Amino acid sequence: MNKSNLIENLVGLIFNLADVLSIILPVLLSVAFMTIIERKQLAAHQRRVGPNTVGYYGILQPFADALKLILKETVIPSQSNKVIFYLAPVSTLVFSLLGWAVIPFGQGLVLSDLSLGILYTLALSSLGVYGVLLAGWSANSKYAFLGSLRSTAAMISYELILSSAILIIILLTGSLNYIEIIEIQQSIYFIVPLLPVFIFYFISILAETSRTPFDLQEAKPDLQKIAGFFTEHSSVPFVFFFLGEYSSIVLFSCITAIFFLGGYNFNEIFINESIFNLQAIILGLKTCIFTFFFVWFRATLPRLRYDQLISLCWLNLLPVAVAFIILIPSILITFDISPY
Amino acid sequence: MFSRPRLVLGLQPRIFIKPSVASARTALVARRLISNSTCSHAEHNHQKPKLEHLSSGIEERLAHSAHLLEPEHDSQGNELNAYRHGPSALDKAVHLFFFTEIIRGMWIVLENFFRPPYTIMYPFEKGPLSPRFRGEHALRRYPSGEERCIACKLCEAICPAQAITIESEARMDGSRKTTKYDIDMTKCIYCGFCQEACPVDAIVETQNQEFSVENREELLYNKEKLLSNGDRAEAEIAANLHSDHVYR
Amino acid sequence: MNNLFFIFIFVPILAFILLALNVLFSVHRPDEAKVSAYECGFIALPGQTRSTFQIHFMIVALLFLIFDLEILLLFPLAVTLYQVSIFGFTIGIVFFIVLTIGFVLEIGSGAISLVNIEQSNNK
Repeated sequence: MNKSNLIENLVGLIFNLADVLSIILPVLLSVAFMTIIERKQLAAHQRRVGPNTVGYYGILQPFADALKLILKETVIPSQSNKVIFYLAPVSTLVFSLLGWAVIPFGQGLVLSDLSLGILYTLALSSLGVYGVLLAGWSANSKYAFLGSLRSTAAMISYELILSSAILIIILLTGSLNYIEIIEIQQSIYFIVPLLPVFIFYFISILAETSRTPFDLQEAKPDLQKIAGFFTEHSSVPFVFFFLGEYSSIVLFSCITAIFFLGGYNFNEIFINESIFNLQAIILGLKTCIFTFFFVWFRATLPRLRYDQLISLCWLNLLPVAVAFIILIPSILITFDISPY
Repeated sequence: MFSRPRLVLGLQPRIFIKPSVASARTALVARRLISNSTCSHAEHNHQKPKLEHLSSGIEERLAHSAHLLEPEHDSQGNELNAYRHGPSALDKAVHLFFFTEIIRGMWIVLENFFRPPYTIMYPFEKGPLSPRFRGEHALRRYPSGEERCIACKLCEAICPAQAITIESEARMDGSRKTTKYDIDMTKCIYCGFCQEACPVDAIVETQNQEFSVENREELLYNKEKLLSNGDRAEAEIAANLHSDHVYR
Repeated sequence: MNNLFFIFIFVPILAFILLALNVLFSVHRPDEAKVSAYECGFIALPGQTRSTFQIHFMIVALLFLIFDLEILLLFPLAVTLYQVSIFGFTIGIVFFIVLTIGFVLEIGSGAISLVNIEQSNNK
């Protein structure tokens, strides 16, 4: 009947909403805590104490920051294009958060088990570049535009390296599905045979999220008078960029854990047979390792100038990636050791 | 074999052992360059393979400096074979592919992650101050209660910022005392010359540096304020002066 | 209406809710100095905000297009390498080598160099 159909649809809708909320709310919390973790960890590396006033040991600092930023005035430059001015940071945040739809948190516990999950992730990282480009264009200033152009060029250059690294992982997997990648790593985590690939994959992830040593566009206000691409964005547009960047960091750490460290499996310790989802905790711990790496790199390395960044990608990393793309299938075919 | 210090005891056989260049060196290069020794990376490159088991010092010096007999500069002063003193191609390749300096730097930063921080939580913990610290001024009294200041105006004369203003008059009982003793704390540079100049240790600087106020008039100290500072902090001032008195 | 469709609707709604909170709860007092573009004290003339576009960015984007599509076209080969074995691999490698020759040409010609950029920045 029509009515029971409607009730069925409604119940389905509520379950959809519950699924989405059970992923998005913890992700937003993790992004919020990522900001304070970064500040505390940077402080620890530098022998000082980070923010420690707001909650116990500064735990509530991101909420205080978010509250302050919501209550601040958004200044829109007079000559800018208002629609694009608001749309650019929104799109940055949206594309970062949408990437969580294909991450598996357990055996089959994924929001949508796409058989082309990796292509979905690559597509979203390419779309994320639009946010950066439109942000610089909309703030009607010569320097913000130049900063955004440079940031865009850096991001798209390193997407090539990212795609190459992912291509090599797929060579060993035989499928674009995340759960298959995790299942096939039950014999050995991919970081062991593919350590050089991991190295240039990690460099490309650092550049995709515009982290040190590739964050000259963000650091420009400190170093020169020329400002980065989000100089004109204040309060909530800024908080969107900020959240989008940290969401990318956590997302890419999670994806790195899935690609190279075996995702939610840890078969030496336990096989999950209980109703409690211990596998998500394993995935979370592996993600934490890589977020630690992100902040550790930020604490150690100086920044690269823009032309050094571009020449590192096109003249150094891309030949290495090309070499590995030719080498690894050659090895797989020659010795007939395809894993699938 | 490469540069470990060796004790030459007795007569060593005269065998010139050429060190094997390739394999052992490869293994050691990466490990040595990652080690956190205090000498900088550049100094590791001066390890030339040393010829061993030479008993005579003269021969050792000759062999070691044999390469110096070759012409080092051509007729125009350009250095021939400038690359023989630097890192080899293998060293450079190891640095390039194994990120040697980056890993070394990151290891140091990781060590510091586990060390305690230096931070002092300011209002609750304060850093140490020496007894000679120059802070807020105070006027002292003798133990009998009589104020020390005799209006000699030495402090007013020596103050570099001319922050002290003094007027004096004979008191009722005939002693020489001030009627007005103002220190403008916004002009004062806290140099301590006044406390060095005073012959009776009347004007001193205490260790107090936390006397900020919310309007400017309160910072123009007059005699009552200075005297009350002194009365409040006399024990501390006396202790500080005593601990330093041999140097003054 | 499956989960993916739902998240595509939900996340933008969340973002717009956050924007709406800001518009509701913050003051809006634009004045002359605040809404002008940031130029370290100089007054931004309306005609000078768009400088000439530097050709280097166009070249980077073009090369990215070429090589990204090349890598994407190798994805099917990666997924089915066992089935196509040597034959498919050879075809893929021939395609890849042709593009690698182009890559060598690109590096050798110095297309990714910014020397012109620095000179034109100094003008």
